[in-house]
Amino acid sequence: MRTKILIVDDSTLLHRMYAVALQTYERRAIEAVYASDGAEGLARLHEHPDVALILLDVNMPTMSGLEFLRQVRAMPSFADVRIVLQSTEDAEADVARGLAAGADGYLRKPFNRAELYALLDSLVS
Amino acid sequence: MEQEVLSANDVVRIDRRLLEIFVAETRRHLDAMRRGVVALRQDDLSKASLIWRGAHTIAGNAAMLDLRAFVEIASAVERLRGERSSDVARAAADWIVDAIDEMESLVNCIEIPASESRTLNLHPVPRPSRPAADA
Repeated sequence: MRTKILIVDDSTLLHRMYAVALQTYERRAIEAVYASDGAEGLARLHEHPDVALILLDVNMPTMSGLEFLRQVRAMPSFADVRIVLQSTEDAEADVARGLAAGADGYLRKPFNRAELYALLDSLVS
Repeated sequence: MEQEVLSANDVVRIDRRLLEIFVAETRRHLDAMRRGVVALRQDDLSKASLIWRGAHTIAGNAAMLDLRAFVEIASAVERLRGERSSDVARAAADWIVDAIDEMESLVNCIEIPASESRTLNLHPVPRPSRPAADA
């Protein structure tokens, strides 16, 4: 059975890097769904209500990651989905706001494959 | 300590597409940042956000590929966003243009190999120095 992950990030490069890394994650099959901002992320989430984990960038156009997070956490139908923020080194304030708004954790950029896999092990395996 | 995976020394060696995306995405953001500087000089601070968004994405992408020169320059530009006074940012417009020019020079130096099997040179290629005059 595949585990579905939603990746919300405005970087096409990050989309590609996740795709490459997830191909070699061995503990379980992962199906990734991608969005480029919070608004698109909400649309993808409604299309794929079985998403188990969302990897969420904070700084995005149209709708920020924090606004996306607040909206998802306000929807009872997605109460069980895990949400992990992707943050940069100098974005501690965003991380704190995200955790307060209901994020389950954060992944600091740049991260390596081992860190990504450890996150997947702890949240979706 | 070297980046282990998802970075230059691993994934990129077998996936030249990552470099192509980085180069294309960086060029797109640099163009947007130039428009942002024009807006900044005209006190259009809303459109000037193109500067900070571009710098943020370039810094994040470059960090993932361990391209540190881009990270340093883009992060320095992004830090200007935190200035409470827009006067400071406006005064820095010329410096931002220099930073954009420098990143454009760097991105033009990245070699994308024709074959996926080759080891990639992810770091900007040093420009050849002028040969010393014969003694």
